Amino acid sequence: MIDGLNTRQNTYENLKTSTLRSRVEVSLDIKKIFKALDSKPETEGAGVIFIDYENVTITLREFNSSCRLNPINVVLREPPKNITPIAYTSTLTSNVRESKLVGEIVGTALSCSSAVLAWVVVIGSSSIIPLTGGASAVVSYMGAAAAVASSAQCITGLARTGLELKSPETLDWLDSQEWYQDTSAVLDAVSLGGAIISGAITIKMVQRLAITGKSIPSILKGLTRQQKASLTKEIHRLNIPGISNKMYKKLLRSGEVKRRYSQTQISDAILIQLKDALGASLSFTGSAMAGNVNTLAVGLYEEFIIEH
Amino acid sequence: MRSLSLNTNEDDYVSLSFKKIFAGLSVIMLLIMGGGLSIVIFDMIFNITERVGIAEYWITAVCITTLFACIPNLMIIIHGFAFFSKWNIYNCVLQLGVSVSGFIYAGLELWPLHVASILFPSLCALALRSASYKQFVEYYYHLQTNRRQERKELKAAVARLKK
Repeated sequence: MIDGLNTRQNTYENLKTSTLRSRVEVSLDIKKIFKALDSKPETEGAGVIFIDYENVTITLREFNSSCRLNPINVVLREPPKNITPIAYTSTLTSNVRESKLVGEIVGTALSCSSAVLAWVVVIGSSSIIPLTGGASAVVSYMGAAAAVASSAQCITGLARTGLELKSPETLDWLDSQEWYQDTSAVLDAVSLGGAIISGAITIKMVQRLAITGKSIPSILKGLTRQQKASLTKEIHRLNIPGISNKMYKKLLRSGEVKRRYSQTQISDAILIQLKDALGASLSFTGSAMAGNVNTLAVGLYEEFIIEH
Repeated sequence: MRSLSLNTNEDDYVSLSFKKIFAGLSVIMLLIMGGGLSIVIFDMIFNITERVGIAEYWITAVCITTLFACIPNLMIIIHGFAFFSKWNIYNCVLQLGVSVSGFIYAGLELWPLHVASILFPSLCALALRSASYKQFVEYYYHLQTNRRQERKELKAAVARLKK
């Protein structure tokens, strides 16, 4: 029964396709279209697809080009019923702009997420100075630079979205400017730099913790008194560079420095740095999706002007 | 999140809860987002791009907005200068002024833009008034003040012991 229905449906669709093909061949000068396409190097050998008002699709010509690797197709679309050609043209144009607006909103959301993470790194890194020692100043300033760059990207993204609503032609002009593209690449590189530095600080912290001879999860669970003391000593040595053993012992005896940090202090500092590392990796993902790390480009629309 | 001091007791901890971090981050992000939309609204009211050029206005506006949003907050977080929180209030009021003027000037045309541009600084004003944000600023003030004090004391101790 179902097989019978499917066969009948296929026959109906085949009939529709063949009727459309005959209609197109009668109403359009297909050879002239192919010739016009082949006369331009940009569209030479392009496939031609026709979609009628009922969304029935037929391929008039398969892509076949000797000088182009990536296939391109020209889609001829018939306006739906009850819509004038002019109204349909304007709908198609506005669809392109709507897609661009959606693209701008997505891009803005990405760059603003990256800014949030960059600020999380700044907020977190300035509270964990003991564990990262001398490198803490680097992470704060590099993180600050990354936060400024990501903020600029977020501001630009929002301004672009507003501009897409207000005057799209200004945005198109801006996109065509080389200085604008270069500035965007520089901002992306700086925000990426912050993510890399944060990752490097995490590695440094892990190296620092290696003196305890334990893994991070076990450090979070608990350290012995000796392990806490040796970790505290290592941290103090970083905070007072070049201090001798004798001087360190004197400082301990005089009570100027702590003999050992408490378990809570160590666990909290590690957790903050792990959160920062997570932030940095997400920032890297953001850049990979729309920035310097990414080497792939995806074009949604391609416009061709064909002279008849 | 807690501060780690070199020579204080555990009782001296100044804690930084997620609520306070959220308040601080919200202020920063809302100022950034509101600033981005203010660039467009400001141009809509005064038509600056036609007078000075798109590129010139774009570069200047993005730089000023970024620095005006970032410098005060970096000063609060990195150096603990609590008085910079006032700059955030000035920035928020300025953005709100620009957004409301833009709405009065353009009316309901481009209403999503106006709604967003008024919403961001309004939410920011709420966050700025919250107790959590005030504690966030206070946390960094105490953290950096204590840290400076400790470094000073440590250096003095080392110098004293060397004698």
